[in-house]
Amino acid sequence: MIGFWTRFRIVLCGLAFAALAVLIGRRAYDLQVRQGDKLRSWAEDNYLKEIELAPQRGRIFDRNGKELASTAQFDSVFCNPRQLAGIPDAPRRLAKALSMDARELKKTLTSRRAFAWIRRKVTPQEAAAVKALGLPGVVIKKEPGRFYPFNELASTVVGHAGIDGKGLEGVELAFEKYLHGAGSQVLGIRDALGRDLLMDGLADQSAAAGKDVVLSVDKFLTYTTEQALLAAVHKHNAKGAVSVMMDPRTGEVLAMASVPSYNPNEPGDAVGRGATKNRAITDQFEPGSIMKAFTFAAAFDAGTLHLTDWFDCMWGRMPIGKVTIRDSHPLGTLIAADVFKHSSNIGTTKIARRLGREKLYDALTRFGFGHKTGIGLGGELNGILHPVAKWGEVAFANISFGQGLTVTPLQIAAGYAAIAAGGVYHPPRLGLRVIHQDGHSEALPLPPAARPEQRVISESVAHTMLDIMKGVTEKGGTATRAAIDGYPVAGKTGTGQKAVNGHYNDAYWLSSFVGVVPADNPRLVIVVMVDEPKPDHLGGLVAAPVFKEIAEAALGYLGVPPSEAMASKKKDKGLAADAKVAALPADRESAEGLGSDVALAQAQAAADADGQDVPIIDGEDVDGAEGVAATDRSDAPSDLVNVPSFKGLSIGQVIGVARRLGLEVAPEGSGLAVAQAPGPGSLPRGSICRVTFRPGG
Amino acid sequence: MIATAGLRERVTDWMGRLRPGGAGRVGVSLRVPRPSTGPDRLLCGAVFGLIALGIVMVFSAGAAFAAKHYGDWTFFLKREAVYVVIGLVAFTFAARTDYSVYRRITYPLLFFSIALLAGVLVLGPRVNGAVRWYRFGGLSFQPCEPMKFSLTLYVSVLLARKADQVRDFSIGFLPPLVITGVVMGLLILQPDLGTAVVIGAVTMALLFVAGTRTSFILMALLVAAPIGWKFLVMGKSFRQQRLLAFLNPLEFRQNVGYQLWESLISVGSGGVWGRGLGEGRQKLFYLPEAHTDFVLSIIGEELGLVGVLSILAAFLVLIWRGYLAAARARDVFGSYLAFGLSSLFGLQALVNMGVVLGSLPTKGIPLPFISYGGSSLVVSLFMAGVLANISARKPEPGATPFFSAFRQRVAAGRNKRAEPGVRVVVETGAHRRRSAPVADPSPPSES
Repeated sequence: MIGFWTRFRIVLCGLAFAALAVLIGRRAYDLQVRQGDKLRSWAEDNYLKEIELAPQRGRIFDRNGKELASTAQFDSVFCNPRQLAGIPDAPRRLAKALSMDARELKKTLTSRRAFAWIRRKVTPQEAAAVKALGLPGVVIKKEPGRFYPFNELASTVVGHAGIDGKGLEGVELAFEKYLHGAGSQVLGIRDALGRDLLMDGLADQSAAAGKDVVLSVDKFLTYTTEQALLAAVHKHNAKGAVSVMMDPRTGEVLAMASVPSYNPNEPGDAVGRGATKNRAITDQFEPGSIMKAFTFAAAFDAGTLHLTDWFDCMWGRMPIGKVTIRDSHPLGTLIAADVFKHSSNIGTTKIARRLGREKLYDALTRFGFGHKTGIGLGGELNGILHPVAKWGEVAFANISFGQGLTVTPLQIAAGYAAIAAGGVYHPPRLGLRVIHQDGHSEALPLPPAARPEQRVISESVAHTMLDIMKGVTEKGGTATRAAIDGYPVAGKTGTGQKAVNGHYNDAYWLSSFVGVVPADNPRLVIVVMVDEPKPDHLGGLVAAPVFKEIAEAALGYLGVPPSEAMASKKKDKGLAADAKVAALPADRESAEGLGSDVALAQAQAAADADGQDVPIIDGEDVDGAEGVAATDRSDAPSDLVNVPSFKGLSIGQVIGVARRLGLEVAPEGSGLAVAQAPGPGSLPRGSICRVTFRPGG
Repeated sequence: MIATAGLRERVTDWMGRLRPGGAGRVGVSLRVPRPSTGPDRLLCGAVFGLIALGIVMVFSAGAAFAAKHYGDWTFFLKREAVYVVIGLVAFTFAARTDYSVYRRITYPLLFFSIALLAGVLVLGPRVNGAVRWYRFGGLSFQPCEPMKFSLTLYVSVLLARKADQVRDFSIGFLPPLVITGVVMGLLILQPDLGTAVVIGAVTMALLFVAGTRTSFILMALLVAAPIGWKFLVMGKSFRQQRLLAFLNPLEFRQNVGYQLWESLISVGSGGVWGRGLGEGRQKLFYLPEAHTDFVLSIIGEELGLVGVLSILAAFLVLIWRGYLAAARARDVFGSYLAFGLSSLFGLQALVNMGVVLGSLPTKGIPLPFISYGGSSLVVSLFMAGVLANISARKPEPGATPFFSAFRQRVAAGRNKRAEPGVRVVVETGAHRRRSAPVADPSPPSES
């Protein structure tokens, strides 16, 4: 039993506790109610963030379903800087493992945040090195990243997506709304170790996933074009080169290549050095003689020019005011087709004068000059076509043969495609289809800015134009090196002087060639432009052979049958093999330096090939790929084919031969074939033959 | 009548209810000692409520940590369950064993505890700069927990025995002070400043209640103050920094004040009703020790002000009923022991809450019954059992040596129907019905 005062003191202690408890309770009230919002926002700084659910980005396919851009899992390194604060040498060790700048990294690591990326998309080796450090708060996480299986291939068209899965360049940017998919931001939390946790369950990932986009470009044709351009740039010490290949029947762009290009897997400073530029739409320049086709077409269409008209080309000198128009090859009086064939500036000026400024201007506008084609890619330029009121006497003359206005390579391609398609302009298009997540595909509409399909010249004028353009690649024309065995080529060379600081300079040229092939039933329009080649600069010398290389490969690849007219011409000469051999001297003319042994090998290969395939050339009624296939099936039931040596053949020839044999070719490099694997001999039909090409000579 | 009575009478009248046998309800004053009513149900209810909440909150706060470090979300839950079972056995044992037995083992227990405490300084591994645990394989044991009970027991026994000599400095004041000083010294060496302060404060409170001269206590505080100052402020630089961080947590939130700051924003983001059980964010590795000393942070975040105040209320109930048991205990020893143990729970709880809420400098003190930790939980439940036993106000079973008393208890357990008078029923809801047939010693075989 305790006494009164003891009990009293116990009560006192109890009261003291009660007082303390009141203080604690008040403190809790203060923290949780009065300062609650403030503290909560502090806390939310820790972990709350919009978690960007990197949606499965849609893939980009070429027209045959080859993946040009896909999504893969990459390792990324991030950390909680707070946890690293106590480890002084952490920045140095991390920097070493990731080969980064230690000082930069230190800045990141001393930030006050609980989360910071150290580096994203590291290599597996780097990830392993970081893991081996065993630093607390440093986490390696898998995240989806863009992967371009073919590296540089079509990079200037496809572009690339950034680290957050947003398109930055090219198709990746232009088709963002399809590729990126629906809204995918989820309010989420992140723990102190930086791991994402979703608050409201898992978001439906498939709904957020992007759609696949099918482009009109063809992987193989793009590859061939790029290789040919690279080789040309190398051979002619050029600054760059660009090429566009279009199907004139539809306006679909089959290849669009620029040099320099870049590897979209490691864009680095590519944007800064301009390597991401798709020069077919972002470069504009004075086209030179390739514009003459439009002057001629306009004049024919207006009825002010007839095939039988003659023009005095004044032996290369035509004074207009204080200026003298010159021709590179002084000539006298020429019939219209020869004015074109020899690319006389004076003759073209006279044709334009007969047509009149307004009509020339109207025609050029109809062909699409002075306005974007509206292909839908970013950065496309209009080109400069001054209003007709500003055309002086000299300017008018200049514009008629391609100086004093600027165009983009794609505009040229679209304009020639209109001629090739019987006078109907098809807007160039790149996007073909969108494939939805459930697998059904939907045709992509033309971009809203595209110029509508329209007739620009009459069909007969278009045929006339193709006829006179054929003269360019025939004997005596400016581009005999563009001629292709078995296929008539309609084309035009251009050798434009580049204006440097406002003055035309003899040292800077733009060599170009535009070809339509086969001229009698156009399947391809190919524009080749080589920027500042040295020392050769004539379009017929520099650009035309590139065209030939590309076109040959493309015709073989597409299975375009040789023209009847040319086939029958050969038939007149006897055996097909003989025809091939007979064609060789012409080839040699255009491709100088083709050694005699190579020529022999080529002849041999051609003979081998034709030994199996005589019906193609001999047959009277073979006019399509179906015919070829039917012949193959009926005449060669055996599953083994005799593969010849491809040595010395161009890519186009190899592909042509291989296609007829039923082989697949995996080409590497460009130029002439130097090796093949497996070697010549019997191979099962349908097997793949790897052929290595080296620049000829 | 009350209005005309003097202060002394009114206080006496009110205090009378605190006497043994006094009524628990206001307005009724029965001065007649009543027979045993079993352990205090409110007291036991508060303890079991805290334990239940503790199991849930340790799981909630520690699941993510457990998953990361042990690869098992339920790692702490499983262990906690084992500790709770052991603790409940200890509670039941203590509640059914008359507290007078501890009087006999006071000194062996005290010296054993001191030896354990001293031994840990030599044998224990250093964890986070402190030597506080014995490690046996995967198990660990914290010697300061039994020390809390041993020292409280010792001081209570001493003060009860000295009775009138308590006011004598060398007899009633110096011995407990010296022993407490030694224990505090050992704790400071670990270092475990928080427990040292709590133990010192409990001794002072016991001395105060026993009637030591106030001047002695003031003197002791005056002597202790400079020493404490030296340790708290002038001592190691990290303690100094901790103190600075305590004074301005926002500024030091990146380094030494990190834990405190995370604790504050955790509690603060709970608001009135909390985010909801299991919805806390700070336990996701932002707040270190979220399931041990800082579990209240997570309670504040998930259960809000309501949760924090409920815990505070539960501890106030525990203190209130503990002090009531002290006031009504059948002997002075029982009073002191009940007072000491209640104060021990109360001080630990309030210091822990003060630390978590940023009212006190950061000290490592667990929240009794709730924080994860086997030693603390088992010892706390045992002490709660002792408190329950004292609150039951049983007559002393006679002078039996400890072990024979134990044997007697075992025998009583075997024949509990036969000797219902000895039986103490812990289940709070059931004892009234069962204590009714005291006068009916019918053996079980006949029923």
